[in-house]
Amino acid sequence: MIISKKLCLLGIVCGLAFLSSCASVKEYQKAHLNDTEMELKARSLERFETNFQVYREGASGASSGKTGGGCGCN
Amino acid sequence: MQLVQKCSLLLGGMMALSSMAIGQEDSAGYKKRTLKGVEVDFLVGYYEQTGNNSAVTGGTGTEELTDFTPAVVVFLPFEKDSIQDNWVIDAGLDVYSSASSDKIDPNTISSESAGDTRTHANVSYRRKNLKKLGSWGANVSFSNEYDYTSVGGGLSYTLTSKDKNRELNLKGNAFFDTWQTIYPVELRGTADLPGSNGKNRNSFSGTISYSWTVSKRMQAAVISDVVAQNGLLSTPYHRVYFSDTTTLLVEKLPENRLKLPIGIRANYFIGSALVVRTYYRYYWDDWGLTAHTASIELPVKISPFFSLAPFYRYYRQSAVDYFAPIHEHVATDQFYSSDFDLSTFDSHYFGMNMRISPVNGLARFGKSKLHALEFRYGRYQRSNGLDANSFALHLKFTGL
Repeated sequence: MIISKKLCLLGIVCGLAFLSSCASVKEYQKAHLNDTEMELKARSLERFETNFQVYREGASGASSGKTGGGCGCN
Repeated sequence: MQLVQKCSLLLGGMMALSSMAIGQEDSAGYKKRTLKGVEVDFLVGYYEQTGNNSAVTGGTGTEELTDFTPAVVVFLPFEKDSIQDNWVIDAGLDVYSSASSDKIDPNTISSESAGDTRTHANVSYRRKNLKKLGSWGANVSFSNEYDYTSVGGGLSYTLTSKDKNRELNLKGNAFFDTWQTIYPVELRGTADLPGSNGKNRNSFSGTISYSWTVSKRMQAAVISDVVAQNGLLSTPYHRVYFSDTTTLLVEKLPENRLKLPIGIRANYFIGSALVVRTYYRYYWDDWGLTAHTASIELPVKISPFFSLAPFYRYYRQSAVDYFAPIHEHVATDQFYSSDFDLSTFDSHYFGMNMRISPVNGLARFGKSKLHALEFRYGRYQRSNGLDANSFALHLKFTGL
């Protein structure tokens, strides 16, 4: 329990550090950021694995995937 | 009938909002909207699993299952002056066969429950004024299988910073699902089983995500959902066997559930050929389940048009308060389930993603071309013995 609290605190600190480190990058400097592999979302093909993971695992969400709807009971 | 009404209402509302927005523009004088670069994605997935903890037979017995899932996604972008209207139509099938489902009524050989087809469709719309920083969107969804129907809808708003280095996204969704309750054959006709009074399941979710540019080579995003569910959250044909009685019952779970997942993505481009894609999620719900998910993917750009990406995902969860294996629940328990998807376990998922996307496409078909091809294979191993393989193929056509 104490370890998980410490991990949470570490996560919050890292999160705040990230939030305060936003850089102003010009459009012409975004060659790497605009690469397809750098997209900040799951790949189109990951919809299939997200689908079975939602069914086979108790946790879901926070991954731009499905958060409700559909049974998935089998 | 209620479902049809809800679905019609959602779709009608969305169309009305869309036409209102178009109408405002047209009051200044009619200008033709131009359809820009239609894209069509064909996706096919195949999934197979084995295991021996089927909830249909009380937490023991075969979990063999195969699922074939073709889908098509059509992107329709329109543009007029500084207004962009984007429609996305996503439709597909899940054709599955399930050995455990066949045990709902084991006396019926090759009964209908041994397999089913789920149809699903989602239509989404997004409007963006290029002169403004905000954009809004809406979506409606529908899915149907033999014993389950779901309709849903949602609204979203996105705010982008002037330098396009930060983006805030807010989204709300609601799903209204209805069961056609099917009980194990030996319990049919029994009074007061879960689902005998209410067959609805409602899910409401709110999502907030914030993404930002960390440097010329790194960007990150934080995503958080709040999901509230109510109604029949148990599965009416999951059997439960008790330790202190020979009476058989079906799974019984609370009628409310609150889920709070929070995730972070961070992608970093190293050198000229390697990308590091990372993701972590912490999940909590009020049924007592907590989970950690961490994944890493390493796309290596063999050439500007060809990349290989090995990936690994680790997942660990604690059991819900209401789970116990076969013959471990007692009849006085308020809630009970022997569904191993809700038990304590960890899992490993690993595999490879391959992507080919030449500048001029892979093949031409008149004016259109096969723009990109992607293939993905993953192997899933759960600590309680469930194993699975997942295959997926993506063909992207442009210029249609």
